[in-house]
Amino acid sequence: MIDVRTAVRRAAAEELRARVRAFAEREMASSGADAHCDAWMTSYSAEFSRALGARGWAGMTIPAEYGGPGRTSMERYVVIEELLAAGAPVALHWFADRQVGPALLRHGSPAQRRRYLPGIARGECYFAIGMSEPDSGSDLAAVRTRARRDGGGWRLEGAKTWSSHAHLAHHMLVLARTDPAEDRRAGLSQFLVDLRLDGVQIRPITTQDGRRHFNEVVFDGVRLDDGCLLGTRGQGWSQVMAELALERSGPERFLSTMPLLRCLLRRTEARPKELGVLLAELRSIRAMSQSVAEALGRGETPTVAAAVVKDLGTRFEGKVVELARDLLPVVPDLASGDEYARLLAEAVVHSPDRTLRGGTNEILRGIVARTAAGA
Amino acid sequence: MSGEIADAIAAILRNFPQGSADGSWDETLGRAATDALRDGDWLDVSLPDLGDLADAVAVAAAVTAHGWPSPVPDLLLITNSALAAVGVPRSHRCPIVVPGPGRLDGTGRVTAAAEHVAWAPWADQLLVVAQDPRGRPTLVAVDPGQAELRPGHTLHGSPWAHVRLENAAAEYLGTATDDLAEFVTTAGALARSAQSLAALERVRALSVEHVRTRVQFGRPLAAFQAVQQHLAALIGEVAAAEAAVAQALGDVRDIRELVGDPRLSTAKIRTSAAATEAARLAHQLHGAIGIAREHELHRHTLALLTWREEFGNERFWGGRLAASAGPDLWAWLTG
Ligand SMILES: Cc1cc2nc3c(=O)[nH]c(=O)nc-3n(C[C@H](O)[C@H](O)[C@H](O)COP(=O)(O)OP(=O)(O)OC[C@H]3O[C@@H](n4cnc5c(N)ncnc54)[C@H](O)[C@@H]3O)c2cc1C
Repeated sequence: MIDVRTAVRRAAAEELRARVRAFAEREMASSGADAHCDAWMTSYSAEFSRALGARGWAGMTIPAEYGGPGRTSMERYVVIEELLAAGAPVALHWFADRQVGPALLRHGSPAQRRRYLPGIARGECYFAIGMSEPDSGSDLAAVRTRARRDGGGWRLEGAKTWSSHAHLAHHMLVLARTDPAEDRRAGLSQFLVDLRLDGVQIRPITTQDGRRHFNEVVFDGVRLDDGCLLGTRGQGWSQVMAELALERSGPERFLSTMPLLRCLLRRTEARPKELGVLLAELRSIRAMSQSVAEALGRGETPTVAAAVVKDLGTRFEGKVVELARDLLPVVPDLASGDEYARLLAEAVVHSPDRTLRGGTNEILRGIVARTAAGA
Repeated sequence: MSGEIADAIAAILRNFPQGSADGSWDETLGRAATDALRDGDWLDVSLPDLGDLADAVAVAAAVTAHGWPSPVPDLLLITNSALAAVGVPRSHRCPIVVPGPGRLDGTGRVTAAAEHVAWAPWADQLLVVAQDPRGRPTLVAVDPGQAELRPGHTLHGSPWAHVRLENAAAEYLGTATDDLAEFVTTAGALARSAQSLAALERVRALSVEHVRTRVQFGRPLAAFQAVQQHLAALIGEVAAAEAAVAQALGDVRDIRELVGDPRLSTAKIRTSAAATEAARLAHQLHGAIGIAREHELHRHTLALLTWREEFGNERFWGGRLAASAGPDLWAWLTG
């Protein structure tokens, strides 16, 4: 028995889904934007991000008092699922929408919320994520970037690396050490850093596909005012862990190769058993991902479940590539006019990324196993 | 022998760096490196009187291990073999085989189309596999100026072209006794298997080095059991690929011996499967740095992932290998 409220909510969600789907199709067709694999990391358009914002589909959970539409996290889930399946150009506002907006809602001061949230909800304010450093990848607590107290503010010194799209972003959410500590996880803090400030240098790192995706971001004594500290001094670690739960749990962790899978099924009528097995996996991962999203919506931090979904989901994304090669083999070609050959090439080239970005699968499995075993 | 060959090739290629400032492959420098190898007579080792198949494979592997695209393996193992099959010497600097299949008419004109012909944009002569009017497998030479070439690049940046020939003037080179197209597929599959192995060995070396030197959580990555498991699985893949190529080459002296042979199917299938797994594991072990252009790893992994698809992927050869096994599996395996 479904109660009436659930039925109403479902109908509303389906209506929202249909509208987003039609919008993405129309907008991409009219602007000539192709569907891409891993579009949330690789494909961007300021107009598209802004158009989403105009429809209330960016920063969706931001309440009206900060310029947002005040929708639920499940409504947001429906929207981003549709955008990912369409391979839409959403990379510019993705990090702001996914984790910085929620982080500000959780830890931000009223002034910080007023400053950033309206732009995020308009799809116009882009954030980069400043966690990794040359010597601090999986070992995030090893960050060396330091923020020292300086008069009424801070001085930021250090370097971040692998910063996706920092060259296109306005701000970066930076994890830095503010206080020496016995326990490496203590003494870390988060800062909202304007990337146009003096002393910020953004250097490109070309990726294997010849594109500029990553950057090295150097902070050479960058002066930050007091309002740049996000949340509580010394609480950076727990703040970042909450942020990572959001970063790791979303549908982008199993839908990165969906444009390829969709194209494959349009192209071939072959429906072998292997495809059925893969689709069962897709349906079950999606169900798990939705329940994680619901838990997040209730204000929980389902770290283990999110890690499980990301491990299964990113491996599923890889299986899609292998099934495509098997069912409809073509020479993968990034520059091909043939959509399938191009999507296959994108999916192949980005294969290494999926099980690394946002925390490697080994680190995630460590979290799962240690929690399960109580170790 | 193969060690000496590798050293000699390395010595030449050291003098001809091929990376451009942005870390990508510079095609002009690549041509210079190819010329240097040609001037050193390394392109002739597979000509029947000058060397044997093992030497040619060793040269192809040594060139490939450098990680930059190179037509040398194709020239050695495909071009030279095709010419040898019809009994003529190589007369041009960069003749590239177009597997066709083409049709040769009674007036010496050839019509053919082939997609993704590796190195066709570099060709100074196209060697087209065609049927003559009497249905015999024939090799003809065509000036590239007569062809319509639609060029592109593989994932690791090496050039190919779709090739179309419409009643192009062709020079008759010779007629083969066997199916020439099949022979070219075999030679190509052998070349890609040998190249994949060379790349896999380099991927293994880079991965071992990386986990020994990269420190996280105060320890080298090699100290973590999850990392050890990945590395061991990677080493297993490379070892299997080594075995697969070795059993294919055995004491074979002529690629013709490998046509329709399960040993060749085994080599191509296993090196392709190893490519998938080893590329995945090596990138996982390297973390983000492995996909930075300045790093060497992806030069090999992108090549590996590309070569799976060339001259028949696992599915193509898997079908053939399976079909070659009769009801008596044990006899097939030990025969
Ligand atoms: C496409 C892409 C985009 C990215 N964008 C950003 C970004 O915008 N901002 C940002 O801050 N970072 C970003 N990153 C960096 C990402 O967070 C790191 O790559 C990741 O955390 C792994 O760190 P690393 O690359 O240094 O690998 P390492 O930590 O050196 O790991 C290498 C290998 O060792 C394994 N390993 C390490 N420690 C252990 C252990 N204790 N036990 C078992 N195995 C272990 C890892 O699992 C991995 O397989 C991005 C990465 C990618 C690939």
